[in-house]
Amino acid sequence: MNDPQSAAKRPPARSAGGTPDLQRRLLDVARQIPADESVPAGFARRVQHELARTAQPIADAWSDWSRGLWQALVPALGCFALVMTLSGRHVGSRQNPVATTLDTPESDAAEIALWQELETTEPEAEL
Amino acid sequence: MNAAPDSPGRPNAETEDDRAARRQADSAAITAVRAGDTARFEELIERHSPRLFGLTRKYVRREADVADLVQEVWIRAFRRLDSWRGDAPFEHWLTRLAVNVCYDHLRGEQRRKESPLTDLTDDEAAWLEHHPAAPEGGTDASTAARSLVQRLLAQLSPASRLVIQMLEIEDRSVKEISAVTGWSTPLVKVRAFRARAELRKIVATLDVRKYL
Repeated sequence: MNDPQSAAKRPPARSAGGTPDLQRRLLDVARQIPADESVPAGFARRVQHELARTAQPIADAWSDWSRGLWQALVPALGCFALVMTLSGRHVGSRQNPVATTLDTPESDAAEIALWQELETTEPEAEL
Repeated sequence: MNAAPDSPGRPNAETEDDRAARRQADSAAITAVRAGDTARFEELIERHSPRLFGLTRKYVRREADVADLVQEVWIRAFRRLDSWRGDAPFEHWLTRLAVNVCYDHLRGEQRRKESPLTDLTDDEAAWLEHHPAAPEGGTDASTAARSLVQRLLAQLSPASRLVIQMLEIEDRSVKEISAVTGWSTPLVKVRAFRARAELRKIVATLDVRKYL
């Protein structure tokens, strides 16, 4: 049945196996393709060179960023200190203005007098 | 991860001692690279590049792309070397990286697929015409047949390509594919089902074209 010579004489026909058979043959061919593991000359050096090339800008970028960060830190701290000082002075000068004007003995006396006046005043006749 | 990245067709001349020695050498080189001796990385490149080139050429045909992709694998490996914990062989970890790089490449290339199977060369058409006559299990891997197979595989979607290559051609198990790709086992099974259907469909068009 599987004699190659008789098989070779057999004309290709749709009934010869069809799609599943063709698929099987193609997969057989794929399995027979040997793995090509050849490596281009100087490949290891090429990779090392590429690693050195890509690693350098990254290191530079990091050092630039950290240097810039430190440089920005000084004026930022200066601004922060200035703002804190100014806001502290401002707060000190305006510390609870209501309390400073109303919570005094004079204001207490004036308030008591007002209440006494209200109590002694006759209610006006209704219109 | 115990998936063996070796393909079954690969000559298995390496003994267990060789493998142990290589793992030890890998481990020593990685420790040195992590400690700052980056020159030792070249040792790893020399040792494992043949396997990576073999693997990448299964998915990518253009030689320039192959070299670029293997280089990309090594660059990723260098940057992620700290993530290799040493509980699995370095080559398995590297294989996973390589498969991911190839998969990303296939996904990127998906839009500009290779020429469809409408323009067969004379040799390809001749092989297709006579394929039923080829002896059962015969070594009929002619250049035309190989070219046809590679073009056929290039028609598959990236996921199907990966699954067909590993499951049908390399005879790997679902568990192994899951370990190499990082996909869950059910996902591999689903993708295998779809990949087989996709392959069947493409082969069917080829089979019909033969009689036109």
